[in-house]
Amino acid sequence: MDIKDEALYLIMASAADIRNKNMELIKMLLAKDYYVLVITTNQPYDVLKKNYEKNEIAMEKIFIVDTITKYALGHDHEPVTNCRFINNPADMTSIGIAVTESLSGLKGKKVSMLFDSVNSMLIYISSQNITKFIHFVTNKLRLLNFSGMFLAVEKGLDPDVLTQLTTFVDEVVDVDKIPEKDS
Amino acid sequence: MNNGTTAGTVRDLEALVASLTELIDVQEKVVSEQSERLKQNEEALRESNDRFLVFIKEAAMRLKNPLEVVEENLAIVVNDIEHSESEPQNVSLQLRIQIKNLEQIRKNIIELNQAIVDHSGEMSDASKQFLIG
Repeated sequence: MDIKDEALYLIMASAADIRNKNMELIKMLLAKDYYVLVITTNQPYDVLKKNYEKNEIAMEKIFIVDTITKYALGHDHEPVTNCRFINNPADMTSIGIAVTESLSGLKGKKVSMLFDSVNSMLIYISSQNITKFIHFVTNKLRLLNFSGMFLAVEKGLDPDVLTQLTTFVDEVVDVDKIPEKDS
Repeated sequence: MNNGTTAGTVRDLEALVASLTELIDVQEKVVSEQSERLKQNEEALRESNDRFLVFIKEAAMRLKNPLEVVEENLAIVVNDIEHSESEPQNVSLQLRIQIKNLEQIRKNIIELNQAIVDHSGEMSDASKQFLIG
């Protein structure tokens, strides 16, 4: 998949493949010298880190906003330099602050944000609020001239919501419809 | 026929016409009111159906899709266990997340049921309690 600097993408994948897509996109972004901010709403930091390491993905240029670990554990995770843990995945204000602060900390660098995923966020937040949140994040990314990718499962989204989301991004990419090629 | 009788008949006819005109006016008013009420009812029904459709679509997104997320997550955990690819604390954390996800999905179902109960007049209290309890 070829990506343009500072562009925003909605990446559609099958439910079974979304975890692999996270890995593939991270690899591709790092290969293009991006710093990556991952907002994870489904895979906890510890599992993401282990999977990245297993796939020989260096963590130095990866920053994470983890919305699920602390909520599932019911207590604090030990502090980690490259990860911010949110108390509750439904707390959009805290997620918004964490994303804003993380992006501001990367100002001046070549940055891409990976949002994984719209579908798992739907468990905790209404589609109306998710749409508002994604609008807020895409505005931030555009102001900072950063690139961004929002992972979603097409079949899990109402066509009206999908249409709204497509208005916030530059391109919608259905990864199941593009031929495999080396990054 | 004398003039007096003719004048009386004309007066009777005029009175009948006036009475009929009044009746027609009343009928027109009633028909107009009924038609307005029907229009309002149709509009309310259409709005209610639109709201219900929006609600059903949101419910599908927040029930069907999240269950698929949990299903995939559990399949990954099982695969990790079978291939000894995850440390016990990570397996435990991933399962805890699925418990939280299922808790939230249950809350979302109750929220959906509550909306159905609120819009349904003909339901026994026992049924209502079953749906939202």
